[in-house]
Amino acid sequence: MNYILECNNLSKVYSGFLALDRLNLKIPSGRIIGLLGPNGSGKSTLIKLINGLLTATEGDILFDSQPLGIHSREHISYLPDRMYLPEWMKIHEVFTYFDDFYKDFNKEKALYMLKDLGIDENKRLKTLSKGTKEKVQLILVMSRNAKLYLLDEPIAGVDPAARDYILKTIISNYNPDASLIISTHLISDIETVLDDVLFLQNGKITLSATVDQIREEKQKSVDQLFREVFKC
Amino acid sequence: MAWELSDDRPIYLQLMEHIQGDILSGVYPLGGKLPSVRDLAACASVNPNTMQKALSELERSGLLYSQRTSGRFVTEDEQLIQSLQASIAEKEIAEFLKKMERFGLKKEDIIKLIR
Amino acid sequence: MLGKLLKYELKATARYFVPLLATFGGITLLFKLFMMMIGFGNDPLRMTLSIFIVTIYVVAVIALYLMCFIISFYRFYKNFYTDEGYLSFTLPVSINLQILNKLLISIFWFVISSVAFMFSIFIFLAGTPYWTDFCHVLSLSFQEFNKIDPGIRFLFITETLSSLILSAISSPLFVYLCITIGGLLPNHRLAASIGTYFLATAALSLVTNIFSSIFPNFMNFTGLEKFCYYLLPMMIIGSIIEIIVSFFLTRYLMERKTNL
Repeated sequence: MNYILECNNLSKVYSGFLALDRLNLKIPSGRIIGLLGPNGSGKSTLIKLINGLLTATEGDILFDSQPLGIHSREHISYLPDRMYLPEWMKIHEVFTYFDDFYKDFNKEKALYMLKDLGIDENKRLKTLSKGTKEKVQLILVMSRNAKLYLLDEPIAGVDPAARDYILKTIISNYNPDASLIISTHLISDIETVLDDVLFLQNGKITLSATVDQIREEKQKSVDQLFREVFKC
Repeated sequence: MAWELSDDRPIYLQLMEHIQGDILSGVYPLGGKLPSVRDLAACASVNPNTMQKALSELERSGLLYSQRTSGRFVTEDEQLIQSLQASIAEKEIAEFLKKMERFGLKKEDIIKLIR
Repeated sequence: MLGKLLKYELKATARYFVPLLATFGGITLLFKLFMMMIGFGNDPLRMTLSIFIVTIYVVAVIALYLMCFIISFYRFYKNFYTDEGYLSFTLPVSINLQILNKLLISIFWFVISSVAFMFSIFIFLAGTPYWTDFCHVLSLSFQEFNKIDPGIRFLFITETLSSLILSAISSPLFVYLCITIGGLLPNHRLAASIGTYFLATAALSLVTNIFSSIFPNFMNFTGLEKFCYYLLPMMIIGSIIEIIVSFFLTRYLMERKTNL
């Protein structure tokens, strides 16, 4: 079987703190995967390692059977958990920027979604509200025809109506040959969208199953299970 | 509108029941074409793979059939629909009678009441 | 890809440099106008005013070059070691091109600023009594220079030019290295980058001092010949080493040690 992403014995130590602990992970193509865990469990660390924004202390990552590099950056569409676009640009300038650098970027699709959400493309990013900026970033990321999407907390800051639109966008835009990893702690909102869930706890994967497996075996939703497992 | 899905049962089973209901009630007529997996998934706000699984299961039961190039269709077999309706009715009635028995109502009393 | 990087970097830096150069041009014209209004003469009031204006002008020139340096520093820091790094580091572009991009744009604005500076000197002097003095000094220097042995002359020109070009390349790269080292820290990266820069500059000048005290020949300024044989070649070699070390170490740290 071919995996789009493999992590082998991946560890990350931050100033004495073990954020990821010999983690092993294999992601096949064509799956929507929820990376679930409380704050500080290592979700962002894992996603940043896959994007080359962090350097692993130990272990390695293979994307499309190759080490990380230009190839992985060409085919991974990443939504960080923060605003990362140059604030001085106008929205249509950022779209052109993505169009220039990513061969798989579909500008028409992006403009269409922008119109759908009623955002003016001539606005400067600086002048937008936090929620609108998040929407613009999500549009950019989802308008790429990537092999792997990594969305770090994509729905945390937006209102419920926009959340529904975003989930629909994810479902109807993602390429069935691609895989999508969503990290979040707001599970009930996205549960029905997921194929598989990964529970991350103290830098280790403690559960890996399909949503329907969990429902069938435990007669409860992933959200309920999550609340039990990560009870304070 | 996302479909109402409950928390305690597998999603694909609930999707199957929902589509089956739509077929029996005529939302999707006999021999009619079903929307694509992607559209159905987007409509229900569920994962396309899960929707695919539900549709495959319905195909196995004979309620749907797919044509390689043109998509998925509702069966034209009226008898299948009727027998399905009958079996669902039987099941629901049995449950209903059991419930009514708890309140001391016999079959004859209930029939009288319905009339 | 380099062309696209250059396009956006030029756009981003022009936001600072266009107003900056416009201000500089404005100051030049304003002072020129002022000088023309007060006229030229040797009375104390005019002398004082002239000195005052020239002093402000020198400050403006220093500020222009300082801004070149600061903007170059800030762009690299902002692009790679703030939240924008999440975009820059995930672009499908090699680190080589990313560094080259920043370097070329830094040099470009340095050259433009120098052209602006020379142009403003010309505007300042043209039509004033100083213009003839200036031309006289220039022609005298040329005459003197022409008396020198052609071999040494050629050596001096080529060495001076290469040394200038090489230091225009090495100084931004050195700055980038300091920022990258500062960027290794999880927090306070800007302060760490600036600190690294001052420490590294101090260390470099210490090395230079020790070197020149061991080999006093290199600090011998008696005659152009000595200058061309010792100091200039040494400066060229020093710049080349600085370029190689800065570039490869920066690239290594960005590719292998990034921790945003």
